[in-house]
Amino acid sequence: MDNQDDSFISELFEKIEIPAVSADEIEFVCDTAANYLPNTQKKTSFWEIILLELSTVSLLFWAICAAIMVFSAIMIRYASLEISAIAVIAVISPIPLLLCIIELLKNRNPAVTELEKVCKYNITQLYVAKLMIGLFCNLVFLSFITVFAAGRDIDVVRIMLTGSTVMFLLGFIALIVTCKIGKSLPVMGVLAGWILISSVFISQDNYLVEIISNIQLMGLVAFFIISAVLFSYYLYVFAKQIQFLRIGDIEV
Amino acid sequence: MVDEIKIIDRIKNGDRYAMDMLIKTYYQSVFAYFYCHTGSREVSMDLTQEVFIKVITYIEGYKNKGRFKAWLFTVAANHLRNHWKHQRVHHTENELKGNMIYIDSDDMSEKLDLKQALLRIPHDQREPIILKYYYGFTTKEISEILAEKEPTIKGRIRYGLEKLKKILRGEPDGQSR
Repeated sequence: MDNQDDSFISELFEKIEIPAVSADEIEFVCDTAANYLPNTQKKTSFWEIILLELSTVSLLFWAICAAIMVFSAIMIRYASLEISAIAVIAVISPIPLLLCIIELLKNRNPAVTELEKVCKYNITQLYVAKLMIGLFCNLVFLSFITVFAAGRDIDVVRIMLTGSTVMFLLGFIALIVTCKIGKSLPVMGVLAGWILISSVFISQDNYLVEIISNIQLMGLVAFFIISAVLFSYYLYVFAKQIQFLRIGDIEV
Repeated sequence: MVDEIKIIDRIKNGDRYAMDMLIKTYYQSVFAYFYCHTGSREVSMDLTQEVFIKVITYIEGYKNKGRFKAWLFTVAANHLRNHWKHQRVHHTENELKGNMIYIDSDDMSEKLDLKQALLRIPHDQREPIILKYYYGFTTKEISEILAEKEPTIKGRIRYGLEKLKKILRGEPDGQSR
């Protein structure tokens, strides 16, 4: 296309007739859009959002967490000594957090997004609150299991550090998947994949458990800090992206 | 540009007057963008309103990097894509059925309605052409708005213009002659 044709097309574009829109019609759009102005949203404290979210977490989520917790505690406490407490905690520790991320993504559909626009709270805070609840629930979960495991003459600090490290690491991977793909199915894949792979490895060979058991405490602390930092960083990235994240059919 | 940044900052602080100014400034441009794509006044008005609601809702995420107009059209382009996806409409086929345009002259004629000719080229070629020739965006800006590589955009514009030329010359959909 040469310059002459180029300018001809430009001239044609200038002649396109676009229907007029009246001032009243534009004013109506302004009135509607005004409902979405940033500080028409009521200032709600983060703790109020957390309490609000706590009341809306599904019963199924709590039931699954409780069932896994009781099952794991019984396994560690009463099963024969052949089952390593560290192995059990490594397998189950990220589950509550990953379930929380899956629940968060599954509930985000176009209808919910429309509703969120008129919510009295900030959407970013809402999703971070959801993840904080998952994290807190996970820590309670790990503490409970650790207390039960303590009766078996096991290093409580070591088991807590291993569980928390795995939780943060898998949480970090799940957040990457969420930010890149934005769908619940791949996060389910991460969860299922972890359970499958770790179960197979640990049930067939105690070698990995031995390696974890032999790591110096400072080494475990270092792994824990690295994984916590990675998770926190990606939680920050997620919080920044959530408003513009393509989730399902939604694209802003 | 500086005034625009100030206006956006005021909107971020909930200033209704600034928001009205922004909408009134860009309403016609966004409406024209949708009208060039859909050919329907009602649909274009609905889409324009939805885009401004999105823009106001997510204005806090706008970082004053680059032109606001480019960001606005990124939102509009995404919204249009979602619209087509939801409507499951192949606009070039359904909207223009029985609306073939022919002209006698070998040369391109100004009598022909460019809007209708545009509706007969594929959406992915029409979009960059409208952004370039109607709005004056650069190829680089269009590539950012449509989230495509610059050479891809250049190619789409080139092929789109070739088709457009053929349609304007009276070759239906640029297929025959």
